[in-house]
Amino acid sequence: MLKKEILTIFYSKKTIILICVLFTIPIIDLGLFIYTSRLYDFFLHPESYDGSIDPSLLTHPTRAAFLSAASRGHLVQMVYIWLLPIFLLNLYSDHSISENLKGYTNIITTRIKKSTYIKAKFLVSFLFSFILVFTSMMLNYVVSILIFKGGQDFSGLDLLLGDSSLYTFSFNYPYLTYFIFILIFSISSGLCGIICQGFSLLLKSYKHSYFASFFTWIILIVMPPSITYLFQPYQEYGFNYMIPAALILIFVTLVILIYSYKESVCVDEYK
Amino acid sequence: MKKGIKIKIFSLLIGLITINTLIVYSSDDNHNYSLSVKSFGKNVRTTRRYRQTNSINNPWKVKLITSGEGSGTITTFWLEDFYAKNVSSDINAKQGAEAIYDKPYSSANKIDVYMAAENNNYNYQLFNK
Repeated sequence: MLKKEILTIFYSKKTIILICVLFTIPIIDLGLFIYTSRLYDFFLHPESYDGSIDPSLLTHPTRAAFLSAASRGHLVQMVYIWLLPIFLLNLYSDHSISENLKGYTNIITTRIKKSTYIKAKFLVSFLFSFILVFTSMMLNYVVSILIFKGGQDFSGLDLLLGDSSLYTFSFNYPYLTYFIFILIFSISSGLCGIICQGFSLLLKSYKHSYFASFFTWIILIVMPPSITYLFQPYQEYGFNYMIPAALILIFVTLVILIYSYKESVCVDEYK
Repeated sequence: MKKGIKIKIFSLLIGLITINTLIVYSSDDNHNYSLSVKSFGKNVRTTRRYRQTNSINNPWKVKLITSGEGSGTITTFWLEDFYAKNVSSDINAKQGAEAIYDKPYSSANKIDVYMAAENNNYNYQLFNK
């Protein structure tokens, strides 16, 4: 069951193109940042720098990477993070809608328990979203480390050391901190996948599930303890904003997960 | 939503006066700016100011006095030329903190520069405070 679910993702050309797009977006962000960075100015006017850039003037790799949002306008972050449910639905989470419309769900439930089918859907939604986002972020991180090797400039952020313990930890262990933020973002994307899958199973319509998933995700971003505080390292909002945001995200996911599971496994049987 | 945040900026661009290659001295000027930073990470910029320096070692600085986002919040500043090409790396100024210095790029020498600003977060923020 799991094997079939995973293989269906890679059978379609559409999903492969979309996966490539999701891998390219963070690299585009890095390219945009390099264009505005000191590295580009060094290529244009190497004579002003006496042949090499001082490491204290070169941006730190973790600052240049995708989640730190050093590029102008944060447009790339918005495309990737705000539209994440649309990508995840298109890649995998809306498969259950077409399976339901074509009657495949009825056939599969003659062979296996419906709960097994639903559980596999949720598990693959979480794992696929997690692995996809994690690998694309890691690719961006590795490329950033290679390009900005030895950089130490945090563009003034390290001088703003406040009373927050998170802030102090971030600048003592920048590489570890960024990796933890990648993990948090990947897990949150997995939860986003679960939200999308829940709405697909619940509403059984493309129109409504895209609408519901996108708006749930956008409301989580717009709310005062925004979930984007969970993804962005080196920002001013500490644990007192991040923990409520994380709790709200987990609560919303659990409500949608449990309700859609009960609706599709228990209630549907007696219709 | 329509109104941006009102930010009063106390910024300084150090102009350098070169008489000849040997005798150099720079002036320490303070310039006050007030900006309205938009949501959606939209950029805003100040009026222009000429940089006379010919060296990248003359820094510029930013001190954020008040911010509509709240106390202790961070806003990103940088210098750019007329065509919005960035001619310095970012300075992330925190409301209430001391002024931060940074060295601009060599493309910032002998041109008119504008100081630009944007919010450092990528959430959608409403600044009607």
